[in-house]
Amino acid sequence: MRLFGEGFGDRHCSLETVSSFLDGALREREMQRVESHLASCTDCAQHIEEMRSVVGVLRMMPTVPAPRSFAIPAPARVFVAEPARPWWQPAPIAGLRALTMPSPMTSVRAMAAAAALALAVVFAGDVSGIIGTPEAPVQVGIQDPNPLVGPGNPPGPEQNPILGEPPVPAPDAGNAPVVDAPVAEPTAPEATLPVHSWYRLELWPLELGLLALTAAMAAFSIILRRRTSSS
Amino acid sequence: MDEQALLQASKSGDAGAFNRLVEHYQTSIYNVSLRMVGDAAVAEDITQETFVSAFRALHTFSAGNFRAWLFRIATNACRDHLRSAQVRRNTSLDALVESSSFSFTSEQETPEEYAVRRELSSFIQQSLSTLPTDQRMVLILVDIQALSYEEAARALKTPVGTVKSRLSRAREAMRAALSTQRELLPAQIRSG
Repeated sequence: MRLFGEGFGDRHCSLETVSSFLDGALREREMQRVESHLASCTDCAQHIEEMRSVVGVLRMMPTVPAPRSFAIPAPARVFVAEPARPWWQPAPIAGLRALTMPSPMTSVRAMAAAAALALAVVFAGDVSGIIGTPEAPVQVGIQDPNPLVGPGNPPGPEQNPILGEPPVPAPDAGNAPVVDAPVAEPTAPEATLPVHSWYRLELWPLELGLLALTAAMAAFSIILRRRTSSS
Repeated sequence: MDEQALLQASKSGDAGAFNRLVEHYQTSIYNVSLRMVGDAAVAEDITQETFVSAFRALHTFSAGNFRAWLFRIATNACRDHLRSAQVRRNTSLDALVESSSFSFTSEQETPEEYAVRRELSSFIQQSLSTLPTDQRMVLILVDIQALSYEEAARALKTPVGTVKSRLSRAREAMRAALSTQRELLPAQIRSG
């Protein structure tokens, strides 16, 4: 801070010097320099006296009493500082407090529900074939070599119904008597059974396990509830 | 009043303990707000807002000068208000000056002295309102509320050197204003 100058000429005290001098905020050596300057500079002495008057008036400004109490009402929800937690641990969600600190009963019920849900998913996937090893479809019945041939639909002479090529004429085709080709017996349409049926469950050990777990958890939950209600 | 004990209790959610702190500081906060905004109703709102905000943010106050921390909240609220209400700045100044509480208090004064006192009070408040916001805040905190430079620096979150600089300019502005109204100054100051 410059003791002198700053708008009042280099030979006069700066504004900040005057202000700090009034507050006694200058160092001892600075105070001595200012005091010795004031002894010889009537301008600065008058300036300081006027400033002292201003500060005196301001400090005499009365304190206005508070018009009412500003006490805060008792909050419905108490604001309590959160306990310190590591930076990697997320802040708990208020609505999930019951889930973050479950009771034994809640835990058992949640496990039973989870086991039942898993059982339902596995069973549905097993039956529908989504879960499990896919197999080739099992065909039942005899493959009809010429499904288009029938009493009302004789094979045409211009195309081999099997190879799709024109029939090769026999050497004596022109003189040979026409012999009717043997007509295949009409067969039943092709029948295909689905691979996965309820009686062909491939994941039955898993499903059985889940069923047992669900039953055990449900039973445990009932026991817990009875003990809680009796105590 | 054991301030530290009350602060600890307040941090635990004890509104009663916090309200004891409110009772202790509400007059100071109200006066700073009143001098800053020049409107009694707004000053009330700012004071209430200051304490509610302080209670909510109490867990962020670790240690240090609680009074300076409260003043920081209040001055920030005043700054926000002044920023948003530039056009309404002088609306209720007259009403404020008319208020009997906003005057020098003195026993055994003559009617003439009373009139002069009110006029000076009015003039000072008007002069304050013409100061830049930063200078006005420093002047109110240091010269009217008697905060130290360090406390004012903490309250305004500025270096002490900045506080000194702003204070000197604010005082000079007030000196220039009051030099035109020396007849309003109290006799002991005029003669001193």
